Amino acid sequence: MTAQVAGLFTTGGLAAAGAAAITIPIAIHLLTRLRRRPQRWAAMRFLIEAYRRQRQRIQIEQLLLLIVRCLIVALLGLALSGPLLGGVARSLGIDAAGRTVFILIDDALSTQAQEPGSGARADRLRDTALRVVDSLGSADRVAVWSVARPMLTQVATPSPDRAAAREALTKLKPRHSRADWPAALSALQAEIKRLSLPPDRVTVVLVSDFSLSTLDTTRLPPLELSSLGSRAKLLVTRPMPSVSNTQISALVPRRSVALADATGVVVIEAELHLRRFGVEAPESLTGIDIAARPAGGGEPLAVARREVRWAAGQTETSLQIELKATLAALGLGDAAGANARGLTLEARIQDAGSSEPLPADGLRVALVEARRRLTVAVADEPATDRAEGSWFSRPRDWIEAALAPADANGHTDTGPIRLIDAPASSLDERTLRAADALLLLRPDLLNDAGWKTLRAWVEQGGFVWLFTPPSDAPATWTTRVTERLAPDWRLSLEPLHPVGAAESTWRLDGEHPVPEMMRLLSTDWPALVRPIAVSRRIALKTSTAQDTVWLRLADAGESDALLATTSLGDGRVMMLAAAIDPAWTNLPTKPLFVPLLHETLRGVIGSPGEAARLNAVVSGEQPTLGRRWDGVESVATPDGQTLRLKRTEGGVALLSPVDKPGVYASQPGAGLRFVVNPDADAGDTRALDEQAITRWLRPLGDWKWIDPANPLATVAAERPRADIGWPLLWVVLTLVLAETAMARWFSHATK
Amino acid sequence: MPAATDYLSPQTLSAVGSLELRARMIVEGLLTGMHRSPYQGISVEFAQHRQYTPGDDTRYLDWKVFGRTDKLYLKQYQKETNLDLVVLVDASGSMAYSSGNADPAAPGSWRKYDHAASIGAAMAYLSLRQQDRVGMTVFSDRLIQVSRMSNAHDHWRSLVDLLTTHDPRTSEQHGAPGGAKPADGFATDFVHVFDQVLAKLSRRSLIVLISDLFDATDALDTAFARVHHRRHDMLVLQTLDPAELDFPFRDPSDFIGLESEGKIGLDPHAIRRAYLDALHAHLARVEEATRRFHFDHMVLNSHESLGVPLSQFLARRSASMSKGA
Repeated sequence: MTAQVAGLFTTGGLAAAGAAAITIPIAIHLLTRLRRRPQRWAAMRFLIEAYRRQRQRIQIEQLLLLIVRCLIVALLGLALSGPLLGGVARSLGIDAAGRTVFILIDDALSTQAQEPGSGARADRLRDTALRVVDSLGSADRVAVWSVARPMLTQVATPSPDRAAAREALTKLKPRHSRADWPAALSALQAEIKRLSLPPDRVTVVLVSDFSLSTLDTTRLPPLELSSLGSRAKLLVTRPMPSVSNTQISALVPRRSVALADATGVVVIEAELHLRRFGVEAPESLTGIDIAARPAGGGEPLAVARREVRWAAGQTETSLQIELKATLAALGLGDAAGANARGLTLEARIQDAGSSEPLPADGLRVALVEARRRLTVAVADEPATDRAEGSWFSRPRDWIEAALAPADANGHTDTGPIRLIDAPASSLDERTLRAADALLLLRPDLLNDAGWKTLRAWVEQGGFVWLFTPPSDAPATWTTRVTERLAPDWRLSLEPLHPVGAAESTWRLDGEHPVPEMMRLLSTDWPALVRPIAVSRRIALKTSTAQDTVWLRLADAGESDALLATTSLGDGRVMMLAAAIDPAWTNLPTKPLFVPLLHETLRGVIGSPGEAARLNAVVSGEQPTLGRRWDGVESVATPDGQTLRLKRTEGGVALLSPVDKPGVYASQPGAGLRFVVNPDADAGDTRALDEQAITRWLRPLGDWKWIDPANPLATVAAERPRADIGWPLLWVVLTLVLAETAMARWFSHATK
Repeated sequence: MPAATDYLSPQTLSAVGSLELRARMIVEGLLTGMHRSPYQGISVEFAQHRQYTPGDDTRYLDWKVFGRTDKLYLKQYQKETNLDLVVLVDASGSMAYSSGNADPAAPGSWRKYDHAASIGAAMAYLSLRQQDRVGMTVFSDRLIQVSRMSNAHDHWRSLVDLLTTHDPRTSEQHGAPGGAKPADGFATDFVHVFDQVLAKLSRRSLIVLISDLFDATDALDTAFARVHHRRHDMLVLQTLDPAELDFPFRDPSDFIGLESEGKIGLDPHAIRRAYLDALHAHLARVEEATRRFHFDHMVLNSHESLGVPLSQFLARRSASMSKGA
């Protein structure tokens, strides 16, 4: 109450003096009565007669004068104290208009940081916001919005219900995403416009720690915000001091599918990125625990511990981690049993909960899948149709030799990759569902139903690799490819030959960037690529950003590819523009061929779009889950809550953004999962420079810092008064003139 | 040395303690001023010689002067009169008022009573020099001092003593603050006073009433009617203080009545116009009453020269003598 009353005044002393000054004319009036001069008088008869005639009029005149003089003094005090008027009016409930106060509070990840000796930043911000709410008058209306991505409206529409605002602020918990001030301010401006609020009655209080992650001060605010300062009074808290923080900024599994090696050991490889923020970056040591747990939860199936030794001044580092588990430990030891098991890979900074100021970004999770083996369907011509030929006369021979070579006993199914036949002319859904990938060696044999089935399978996450048939016949099948699978590609209808001498060939561009999935070969990539020659090919040109060229022809156009890939739905399409035939290219005979097939299959399978995307979800996003999630109604959050799903054009999506880091599982249990990690950039706990904030806010118009020691005074000082103070002074002046005239008239001193 | 006409100024007269000396000074000043007075010819001493103008009665030519100066002067003789002058001086409490000093009893203040007494004494002196019979009455609500009618030379001194032996006193000095009327009284009661005065007059007289006339006009009307009925002539000299005429006060004050009216606190600014309206209405009623009975009425400012009322008196005396003749 005291704060509320104090908030009514900006010049409290002057206001009190003005109020007290009302007693001055009354005191003068009373003293005048007490201190009349005695005057002996003879002509009393006339005086008494005059007094009796004038007594009532004189009393009324004196009362009027007294009232006017009291009013002059009181109004002068009120006028000079400015905001008092609005405050008093509001406290009396007669100021029906009041102010509209929008409190935009930062609840981003950085506000979780604990400041030494000061507690959590979020608590201090909440305290400031609560004090602002307490300072509001009864006619004021308040809205509370939290600006971590995505912006949430705790109290959406300005309301006089301050208890609701208090409750919303009290319950507010910092999230794991970054603040999005431009979006919040744009929404705010739209709201002010929608409500048609008068500019002098709108106050916007920006409550934030203003860490580096809060605001990108290198970019100007959106142009449409340039009028915000004229639509509202902006009050801004000052940035909080920097605190040191070490975070795991990324945990990237090398492959989303980990296959067992010949010894039955599954090796899970991942890359771990760490950053540290702070004023100083001394030499230090950071311990990291890594564990692989069952995706549904449970004890770790494999663990490791690593240490990072930071050099002085070093702020970023990365390290490779490797977890090993036997198939038996993973529950995949039985050849007749399950072939795959979902795992949650978890990396955590040791003692993050006690010594780190921001433990939330010291933990990161990723999904991987451990498999005993991969099943790859090979769609070729039916075996009965195969012409007898020499050794390695058919493309399938090269594929088998690369993926499933026969062991010493002549068995080809003992390795981690098992090949199954899928006749191209009769490709069906059942065969595709049993396979992790399809190598389509004879696309020319695929009928319409096959193309349709293939497209549907790819859209749901399948991976198909198209190979050019070794035939010089017109390649009409390429039309089907562009129609069904890759509409952005342009394919020629017949094979191309190099222009010039018959023995001339195309060479590959060794300088072309290494594909992401081939990064294990990145060191040797140019040496592996350069020996490859192409003497016949289908022209393959890509055009969109989704298309990715893995192998590009030298001296050809940027989009002229030998090997390219594109996404389709949740799946992936890849095409080699030459046949697996030495007459077309020497690729099958070169060292690149085997690792190219293996790494592509291991890298793409399990993450053809979906897994990679769902492993990269960060707090604040509202991910689209993909077509594999069709039929799933909801997902369970890491803390056991349920989030509803909705259908969109791109597949199933969440109804609301996610925030809580951890594993989200489909409900009912279809075994689908995705992970959410904190927005790593939101964990930058270094303070923004005040000048940088000033530069960013300047284009918005007028704004003020909130005095950290006394936020109430700053907010109270912004009460609307300009349109009241001056008119009051004019009223006082008018009353002074009226008093002079009245005093002169009442005393009849007209001469 | 003051000029002779300064003797008619209250400022000069107030410095003179003796009323007898004051009266002589007044008359000296008055007669000196007569050289230029429109009333030339009615004065005793200056009427002895007057330059002849065609039409004058040649019986009164002074041949001796003509012999010495070869100029014709008329010789005027002092005329025997039978005029009785009755001077009524108001000594009620209100006559003690003086705006020159807050304390009416303080030395140096010129009260209305001082003004009235000086005028009365001067008139008596002038009349006695004309061999008129003069009577003097000092009154308030009753007759306080009454002298016999006489034209003896030593009568003037007794008249002066009569004026000085009574001093108007206020209610406070009578020990009756708050308005209780004291036993001896100090307001005016003209009907009663005039009844008593008229009862003592056996001859037709010129009555000079010197008072502030702070009484009800009905009572004045009654008193004047009785005077008129008895065929007396009357000169009414209403003596008022300039403060009473202008009401110049500014500060809020407690006005305390000098005739037991009590106390009233007010802002003079606020009441001034109404007061002046009431005063002027009263003066108009007095004027109307005197005019109805063919009396002369003059409002005297107690801080102004006494010459004008005395000249008025002389003119009125002359008119009364003409009526008597």
